[in-house]
Amino acid sequence: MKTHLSQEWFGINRGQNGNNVLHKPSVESHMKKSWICWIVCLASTLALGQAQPASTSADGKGPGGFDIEQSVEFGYRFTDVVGSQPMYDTLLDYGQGPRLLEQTLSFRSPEHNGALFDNLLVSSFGWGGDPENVGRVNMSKARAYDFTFLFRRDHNYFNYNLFANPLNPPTAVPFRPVTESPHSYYTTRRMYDFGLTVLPDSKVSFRLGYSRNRSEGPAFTSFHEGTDVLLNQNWNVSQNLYRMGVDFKVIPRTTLSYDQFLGYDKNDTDNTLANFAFGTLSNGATVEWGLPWAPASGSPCNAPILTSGLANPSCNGYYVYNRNQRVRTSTPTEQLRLASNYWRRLNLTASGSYSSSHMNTPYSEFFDGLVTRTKERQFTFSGPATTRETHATADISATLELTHSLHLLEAFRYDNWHIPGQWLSTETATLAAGSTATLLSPLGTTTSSTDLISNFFSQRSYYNVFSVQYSPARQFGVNFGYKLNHRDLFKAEPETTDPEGPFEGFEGDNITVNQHGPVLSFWLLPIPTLRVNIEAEAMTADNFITRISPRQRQNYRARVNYKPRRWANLSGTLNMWNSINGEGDTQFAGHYRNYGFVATFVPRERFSLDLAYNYTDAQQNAYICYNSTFIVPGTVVNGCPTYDSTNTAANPNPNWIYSVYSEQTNYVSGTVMVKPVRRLTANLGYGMTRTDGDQTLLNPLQPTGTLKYNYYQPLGSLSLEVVKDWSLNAYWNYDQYRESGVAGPTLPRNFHDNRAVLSVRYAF
Amino acid sequence: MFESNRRSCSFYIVLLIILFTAGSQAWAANPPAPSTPAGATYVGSDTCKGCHEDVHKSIEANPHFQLLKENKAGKTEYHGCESCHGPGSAHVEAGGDKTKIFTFTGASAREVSQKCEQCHGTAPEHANFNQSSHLLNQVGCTSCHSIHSAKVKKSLLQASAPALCYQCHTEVRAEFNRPFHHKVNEGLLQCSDCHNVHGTTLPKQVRTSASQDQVCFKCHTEKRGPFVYEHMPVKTEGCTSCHSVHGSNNPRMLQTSTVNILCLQCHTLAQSNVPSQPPVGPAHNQAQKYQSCTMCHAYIHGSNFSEVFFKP
Repeated sequence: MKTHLSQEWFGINRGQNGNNVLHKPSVESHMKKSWICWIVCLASTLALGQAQPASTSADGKGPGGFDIEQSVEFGYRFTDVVGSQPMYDTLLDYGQGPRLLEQTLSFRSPEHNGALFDNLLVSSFGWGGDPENVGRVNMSKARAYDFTFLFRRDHNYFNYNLFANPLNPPTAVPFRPVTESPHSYYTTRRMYDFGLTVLPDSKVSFRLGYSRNRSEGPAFTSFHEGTDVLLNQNWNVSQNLYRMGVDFKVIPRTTLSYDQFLGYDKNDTDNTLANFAFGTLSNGATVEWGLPWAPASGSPCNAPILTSGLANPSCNGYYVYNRNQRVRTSTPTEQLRLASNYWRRLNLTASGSYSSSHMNTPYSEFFDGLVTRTKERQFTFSGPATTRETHATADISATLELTHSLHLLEAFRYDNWHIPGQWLSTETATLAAGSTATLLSPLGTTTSSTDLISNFFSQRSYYNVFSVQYSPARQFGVNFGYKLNHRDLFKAEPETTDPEGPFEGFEGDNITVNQHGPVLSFWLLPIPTLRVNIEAEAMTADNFITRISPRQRQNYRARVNYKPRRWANLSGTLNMWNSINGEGDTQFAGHYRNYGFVATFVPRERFSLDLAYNYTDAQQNAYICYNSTFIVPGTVVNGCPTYDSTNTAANPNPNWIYSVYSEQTNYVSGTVMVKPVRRLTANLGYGMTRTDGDQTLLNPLQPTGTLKYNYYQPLGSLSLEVVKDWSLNAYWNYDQYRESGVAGPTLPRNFHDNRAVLSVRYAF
Repeated sequence: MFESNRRSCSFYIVLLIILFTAGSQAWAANPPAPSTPAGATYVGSDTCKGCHEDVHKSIEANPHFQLLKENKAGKTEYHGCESCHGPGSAHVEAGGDKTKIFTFTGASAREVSQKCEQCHGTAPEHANFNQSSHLLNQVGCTSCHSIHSAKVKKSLLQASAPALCYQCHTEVRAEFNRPFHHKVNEGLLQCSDCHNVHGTTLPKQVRTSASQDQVCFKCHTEKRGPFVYEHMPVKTEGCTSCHSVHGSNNPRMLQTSTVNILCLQCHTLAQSNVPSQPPVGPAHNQAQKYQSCTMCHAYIHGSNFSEVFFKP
């Protein structure tokens, strides 16, 4: 049986033992556009040509004395989706079409005496339009260099229609449901990582690297001014990161490293007005009303459509809106590291780094329409923003071996950052002429103002862990210690000043938080094949930064791992934490309780079995104040601690309720592989994730959505080796996502699909 | 609070006693693992090859082949098989007695790691292994790596990722199978992209970005800033204060299924001892369009032009 080369080399394990997904990628127009794809295909083709004589040579060696192995798998995916296509694309997004499912090429010099390299591996999957696409190159020559290249591209489609949805009421006339998420996107991220280490085993070695991360594609967002409009967002973000470093190993068992990084980020995402709901004014102009459509509640106004059918000119509306920015951020970083085992009983590591980011961006924003609240017919905002971030970190850790069974461990980390920022804004506001502001009003007077807005945010923290590890025998040991985390942060109130005037400094708040607590862990090896780990940790804090930051927290973890044979693995885990902030008007209480097991058996090449079960109970509760015309059961009306009965106008959030969020999730998975005959391999599996829960819903139209759902994912596959080195494969996946609650005032999100891939694989 | 601490301490003491007793029983029942006998000398890899030819072949094919080149006699790392297993003369003279040489089977994780760290210990990726959660929990190098019979040639792993990690981290496996998750099972990401399994000085053994920020910003660069208006918890509490980063039942991997509850649980009241936590809560009717705070506060991770995160 041919081994799966990419898995053998890189450990790429897609859909096996992990997720019940057998994705086998595909080709669309992206293939034509991608030079990477062509390089890989060319490399494969060349390698195919080279390898033919190799496979027939008497000694099994290819050209140059290399052992050469290759594989390539082509196929076609059939997809049938019933139900919500946006939801299918959000969760899976596997389309139909031809695919270059996988490709590998390996050159290995058995004597490690290759001319240019000793080892070369090119491996990739996902060509042809599947949402995930990865290519890797590893090339190395012993003691001379080690080169790695990793390319990753993923399509990100998101359109969960309840997200950022105003939930327009069906009682509105006309009913205008928001059927897709106003924050949907379909972006593509491409990540390139190059790394080269020269003379890796020498006393002085060098490292060079370059990473590029580019994310682009169409997206939507929303903007609130007058009403809430949908915006086209041309997503365009990239980062280039350059690295170079040197390692000095001139002292025995000690490495001193120096690295320099330079990051350069760009964000050129622009926004323009998108159409959702629009009407025609009496002058023939088209006006956009925006996403919320609840005239009874004043969105976008009480009567957006006149009896004549024309748009009401007194309503909030947009003719034009756009904004532009060009964010540029450069971040040079220096880092010095030391790792030493020079002293036999002392292991020492230390590092320090300093980075200084500088961000600047111009900005321009233009609005034409009507904001009834301010009577503005047009406005502009512009002006550059600049921000710096200086970030210094240092850490040191030491392990001291007092005796063979007793070790002292100390780790300390210091972190300090400051973020001063400024925005020099120029604002113009043009009011509607006349006493009544309408969309038809001519432009009136324009006022302008310029402000210098300054802001500042900083934090200094250190984190220390001291522990003692005592292991008197190979069969058990204990580790106990103490953690301390201290944070000082300063959050300034933004200062608006005259650009020409003096700056008088920031006012703001200092918050100091000390978190500390004991840690204890214990391991036990009653027999060499059975390991038991138990960990417990407690933390108390004298202050908090957010209301859901715990004042007390306890963690408990237990793991049992049993490997009775090399081919059998049994694991059970328990993982729990409790968090509490017992402040009287907060009463935050959260917990996470997880129990699970995994059993994997691979007794022989012809059979394997993988079983898993996991249960999670998560909760996050706290008191909240809220404002709503819908009174949730359990609410204390006007009961919020800030409520002042003598001044009801100053009580924006009078209602008081203990908000709850809880979810209970069951996960079950099972996969069996059998080879009834040597040439035939069959896989059959089943996966299920099922969630039930409860949440305080402040809006009567809000469906439970993902709080209650079932997600079933059975799968199967057959692989038949028809002749030597050639195999025919068939993969099948079925996915069913079904929410238990009502769909709400939008489209249902349930779907089920069948995905089938027929492919041929050639490995030689 | 003191009562809570006292209960915690009592719990730990009782737990310690129970576990120590159990451990002592296990100690008494199991003999110690073999180690190198005193006085043994190096015999060279060719001698080992005489009996362990298959093992020798496996070494020739992996990066440890360099150990077989004894071109700098006197240095531990150039003693071939004995670089790791120690001097083998006693083992040879005893006719292959396994108790006369260091074997990794039965050795403690720290003993194993000390052997490996002779060469790998000061490499940047491995430098903090002595402090790592794995080693402290008796998960040593050979728990994940196999020098002689690796299933995955790169890094000589015993199994492919993420299945190798899932063998112990069962809860993470379940999280990555939820509807909204990072694409680890799909092969796009690996656990080691965010975690250094050999240890860091940060909790959960998470990595940092090049500028020492949260590792999340390596991919989500636009959320790193710096911004004129930072959303405080993004910087101080981290992404996990709002997101379940492995996988979630909720869109955008949020901690709760609706946005407003997540926001309101922080933005409700200004605390007396945390004076600056505005806003104290929206004046908006939650029964209307405002149930999703991010519909208006669309740039919630940080903004340069809007203090309330309406604009980028």
